[in-house]
Amino acid sequence: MISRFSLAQATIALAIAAFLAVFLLIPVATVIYVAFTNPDGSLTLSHLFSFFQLSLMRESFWNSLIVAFASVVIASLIALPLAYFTVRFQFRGALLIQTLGVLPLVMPPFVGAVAMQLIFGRSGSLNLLLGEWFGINLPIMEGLNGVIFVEALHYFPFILLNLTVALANIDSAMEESAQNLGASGFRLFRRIVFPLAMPGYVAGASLVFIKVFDDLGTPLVLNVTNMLAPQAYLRITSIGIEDPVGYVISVLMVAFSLLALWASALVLKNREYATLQRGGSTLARRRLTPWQAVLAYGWIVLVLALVLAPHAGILLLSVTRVWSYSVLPEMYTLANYVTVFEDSPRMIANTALYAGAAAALDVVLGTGIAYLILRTRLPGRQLLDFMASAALAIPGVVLGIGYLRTFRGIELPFMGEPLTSSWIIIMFAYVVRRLPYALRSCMAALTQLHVSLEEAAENLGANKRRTVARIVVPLMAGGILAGFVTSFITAAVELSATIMLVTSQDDAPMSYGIYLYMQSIAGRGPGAALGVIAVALVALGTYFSNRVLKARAAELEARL
Amino acid sequence: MQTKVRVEIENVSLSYGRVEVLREVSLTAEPGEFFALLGPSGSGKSTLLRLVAGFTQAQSGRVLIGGEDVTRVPPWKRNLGMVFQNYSLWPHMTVAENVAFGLEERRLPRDVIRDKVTAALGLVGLAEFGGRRPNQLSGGQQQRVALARTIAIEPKVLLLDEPLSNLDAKLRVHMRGEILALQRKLGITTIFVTHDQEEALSISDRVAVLEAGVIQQVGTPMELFDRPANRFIANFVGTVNLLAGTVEPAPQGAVFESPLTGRITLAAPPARAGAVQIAVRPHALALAAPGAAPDPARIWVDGIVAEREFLGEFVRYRIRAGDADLIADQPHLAGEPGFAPGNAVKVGINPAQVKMLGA
Repeated sequence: MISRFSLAQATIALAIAAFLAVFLLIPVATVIYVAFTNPDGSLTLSHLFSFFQLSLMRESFWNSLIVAFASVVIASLIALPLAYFTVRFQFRGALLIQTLGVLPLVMPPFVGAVAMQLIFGRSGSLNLLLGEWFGINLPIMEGLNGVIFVEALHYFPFILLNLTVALANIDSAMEESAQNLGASGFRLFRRIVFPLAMPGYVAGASLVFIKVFDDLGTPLVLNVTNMLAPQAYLRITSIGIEDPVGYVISVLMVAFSLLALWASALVLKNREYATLQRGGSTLARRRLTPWQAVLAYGWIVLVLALVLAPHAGILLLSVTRVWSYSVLPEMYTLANYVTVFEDSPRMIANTALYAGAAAALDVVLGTGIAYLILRTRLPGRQLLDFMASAALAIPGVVLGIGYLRTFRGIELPFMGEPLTSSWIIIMFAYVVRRLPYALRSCMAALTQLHVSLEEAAENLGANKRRTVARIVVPLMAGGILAGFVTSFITAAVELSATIMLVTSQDDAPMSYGIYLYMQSIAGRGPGAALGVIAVALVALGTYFSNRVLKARAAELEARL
Repeated sequence: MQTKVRVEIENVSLSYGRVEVLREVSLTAEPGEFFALLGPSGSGKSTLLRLVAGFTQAQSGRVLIGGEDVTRVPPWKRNLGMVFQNYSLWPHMTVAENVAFGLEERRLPRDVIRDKVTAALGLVGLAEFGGRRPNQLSGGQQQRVALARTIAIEPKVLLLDEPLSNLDAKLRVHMRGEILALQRKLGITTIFVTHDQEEALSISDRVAVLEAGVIQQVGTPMELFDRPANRFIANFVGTVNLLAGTVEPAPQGAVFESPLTGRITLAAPPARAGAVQIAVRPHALALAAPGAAPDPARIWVDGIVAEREFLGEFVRYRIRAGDADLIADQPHLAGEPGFAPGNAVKVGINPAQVKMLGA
């Protein structure tokens, strides 16, 4: 019997596995190892105990959990009605709601956090108005409230998108059968529609939980340090790379992220509701009654106003000389942009370099893994997918700490520079963190390709390598590009790992620059300006790639 | 053109896990032959074709092409032309680029490629379509491009995997004529996979019928129809009436006996005495009104018309006779009313048209 795979395939698989081992598994394993061993290498739980003996740590632990859960709850409250409106009613707002979906991708929460404080803070626009009119002050941005508010507003679209897709896949016959048997109104929704959409909701909710748990920038910018991610960062940067408590925090963060992933997998298990039957139709859309229309549009306008607040705020802030204790800024200027272009053109170039190189590597890895999984019978190939996807559950701070610890003392060949203080390590962190996104795109693209297109090429004389080069990659190009763009834009605004790994101003990317600026009152203007530039670049990139993708999809659509 | 080659499949067995897809299959397609692999879905016919093309590997057995063992040769070195069920035209290339692909892989000079592409497209009547994209063509045209792309490389053997199944009924009949004409012109050994018995019988020189990974019978279309080797073939190739009974040898050949038919004397001697089935085609049964004077050469049994189905050229009757249902096809001529459901009829069996099968 001929072996089921070729030497070339095995070599590529091993190379990818080696990369993931060096830049993902070993660093994370090192973190776990350090958290549970004494300096002499013996196993111990003493670090864990000392973690829970520190009241600040206990407080941070509970705060992180509270923030993550509360963010999920509030994000759900925002997303549920919006998702329901789009699939249930004949409705003009669908496009608006879709647009809401990409906002968290183009602007991470920490960028808008300062603007949110200026708008919703104790002496922000809203409270100034409320104080003037009603004499009240809402503590929206006080302490944890602020983190929860900012995170929920930024990440609710993950629930919205997943839930909308799930709702759209429900066959109208499901609902009609229930109506036929006597269910209607809210009971119908609670007993039939929502349970069927549950997998989509859970997938979105667990993603929000993980994202919030992972986020280091928002609490830091809002000056909330009694949470796990900021504590991990502060312990390692102030006490040092040897401080075991930082590693214990990291282990807890990984554990909770994995728990969230596992819980969602558990809920989704055996619940693959492929509900839309062949030839079936989606839920019937109803016409809104005037009152319903008022409520629906009212809700959407309110959410939209909230969601756009950080964007509008950051834009205002970027053209403002001073903005404090006033509803709107009082003096406008372009000086902030001048400052940014004078100070930090290098940061923009750095972002382009790191995110570009990382996204390129991601799609190469993603295409390779997708091909190995979908087109070969290589033993253990699923393991590659599992490893690459596991990166989703590793918070940036943890990965950063893992790199610093694992690679300390290792010098780059020919440069004589330590790896941990080189920009290359930042780039690799981006590669690992954004690989799951690129991989999903590549898998989707290759799944859509019929195998016989490749077999036809082999039959006509092209070997595997030529077939991949002439048929597979050109036909996957749309998906590869989509993966590249997603990886690129999310890497461009990555902060958690960046903060840990940036060692010199010269190597800092934009996300780090924004964070640094935001540390001081005087820096807010230029920080906002840099944020606007980042968002604009990312939005432009998204727009153009979307156009290319649409044209490409239309071309491929026509053949099927 | 290439010299004609023989394709030999020797004792091939293949299983996916515990599912046996092919069991000890041996076949030979003669040089220049149009050879059909016919079988229901899941019978292993496509797997067998893919095995010849090199896309699957058997656990045991050999494949020889032109006498050369290619069992371990990868698909891209076999020089066989395969036309896929869904045509598999590459959407990112023009028609001409699709056809040129195999020639480019063979590193032919540019002008040779151009000439061969033009010739291949001309052969399938698409000379003007080289600059189009596959998605701008109709189903029939895409089929022709797939053929042109395959014959452009002058393959040793042409492999066709249900090439007509995606076309509508009229076009299917037309294209199978075109494919046959092309095959005759090139003289290339062709293996054709289909589940459509009419398709297989109408254009093939010989047909192999597969069921459950086993070759049931190999023969010319007429042999399969007239002398089915077993019940499966009799049922699968055309429609058939099966009657159970016993047989014993007799001086004239054999005598078949069943409660319904009584004794029927058959010309062929039985393989063995005992329980058997006899098969008779619907069009070999005659119907007569109960009062009519019967043809003494036939065995007549009484029945009641249960259903009639008007099919244009003929009327298909289902007749309840004893505890058996008989299907009888009677030619339809204008003005003849035939029999109505509920009518009593006599069914005449011609012993010369009866074929004996194992029980």
